[in-house]
Amino acid sequence: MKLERLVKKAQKGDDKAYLKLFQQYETDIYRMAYVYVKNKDDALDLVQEVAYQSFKKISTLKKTEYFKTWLMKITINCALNLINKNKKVIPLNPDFEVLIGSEDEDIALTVSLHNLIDTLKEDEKSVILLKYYDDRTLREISEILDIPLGTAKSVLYRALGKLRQNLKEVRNYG
Amino acid sequence: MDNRLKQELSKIEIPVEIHNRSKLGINKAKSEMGGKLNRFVKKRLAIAVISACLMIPTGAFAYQALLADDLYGSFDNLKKHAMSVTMESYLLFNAKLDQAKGDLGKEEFKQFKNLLKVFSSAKIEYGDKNGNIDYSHLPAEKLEEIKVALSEIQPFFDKLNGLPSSKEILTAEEYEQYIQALLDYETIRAQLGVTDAPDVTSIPAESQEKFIKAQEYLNYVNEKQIGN
Repeated sequence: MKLERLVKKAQKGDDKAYLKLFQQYETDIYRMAYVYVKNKDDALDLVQEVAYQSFKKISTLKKTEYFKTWLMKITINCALNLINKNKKVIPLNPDFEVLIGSEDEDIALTVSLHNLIDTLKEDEKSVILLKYYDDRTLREISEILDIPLGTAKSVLYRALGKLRQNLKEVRNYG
Repeated sequence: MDNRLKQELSKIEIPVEIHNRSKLGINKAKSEMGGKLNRFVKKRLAIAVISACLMIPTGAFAYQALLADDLYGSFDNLKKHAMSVTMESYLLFNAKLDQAKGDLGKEEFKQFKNLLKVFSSAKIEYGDKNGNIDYSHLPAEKLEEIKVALSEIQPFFDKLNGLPSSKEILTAEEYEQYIQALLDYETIRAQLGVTDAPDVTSIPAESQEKFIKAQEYLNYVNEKQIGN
């Protein structure tokens, strides 16, 4: 009920109401973004971008109960856009960057989070995140990502297969 | 799988600046949202600083007795300073002056023109190529003079825009804050060298808050004027 009121207020242009609303989800958004972009700065940029885009488009949201799902969809789209944009930029010295990145940022993350972040492709990340982090059904996932149900299923199984494979490898080494 | 993934993701640490970033994003969207209100503000700000934006191709208009010429002496003088001004904005300004003459009555118009002169000579002396002044670099004495002129001229601008006088609907304290907000807004635009409302993210962090505060205050006053 409270959510609904805040959404309604925000749709009338009340930025304070929207800030209140948005802040309930910003950690989820940050974590999802992090899985895609793998570093703090880009993930923060994405949070800001999602806040910007979502408030600008809030009046187009019809069913308030879908607010969270709608935010997740914007997050995924923004993350993919950023990744595509960065692909066009050729890093000066890629090996060096990877080295810095792995020592600096990711040290607190465990191996299996690494697996999730490093082994999955973008579309697989989207499906896994929506399925297990946002608790969406496959049908909902196919709607959110604008892909056929069959594709959503096969991407999910492929992703799970990769994660299992990785888990095995880790155990073998252990 | 379900819980494990959530557990794994919860290991991603949340940086403290996240709240601020959400706020910045929302503020940026807010400042760009084109409601009726916002258009009003833009229009009004445009007029408040319009004296900055004057230039005229002399050939075409030399024979016309433009009121604006009275203020700026000669066009060449202006051209040296305000490079980005278009003919359109000059004519718009002239029209405003004509209107002022009709709307305000002889005595009032004279007063208006004198005030505008303080304002516009400051623009020529201190303004950047867009005519915006970075007030933080002005000598204190000059700043005070402009502030006084601005606070006296603002009710005229309100009248020309068909709005109730901001000086009357605000308390003395609020009105002072309002004038300060106008100055801050212009200062930041001068620092950035832009003519339109700047993108919040392009503003250096230390001025960002000041800018947002100024903008919010201008919105607030405008809302009040429209509501009355």
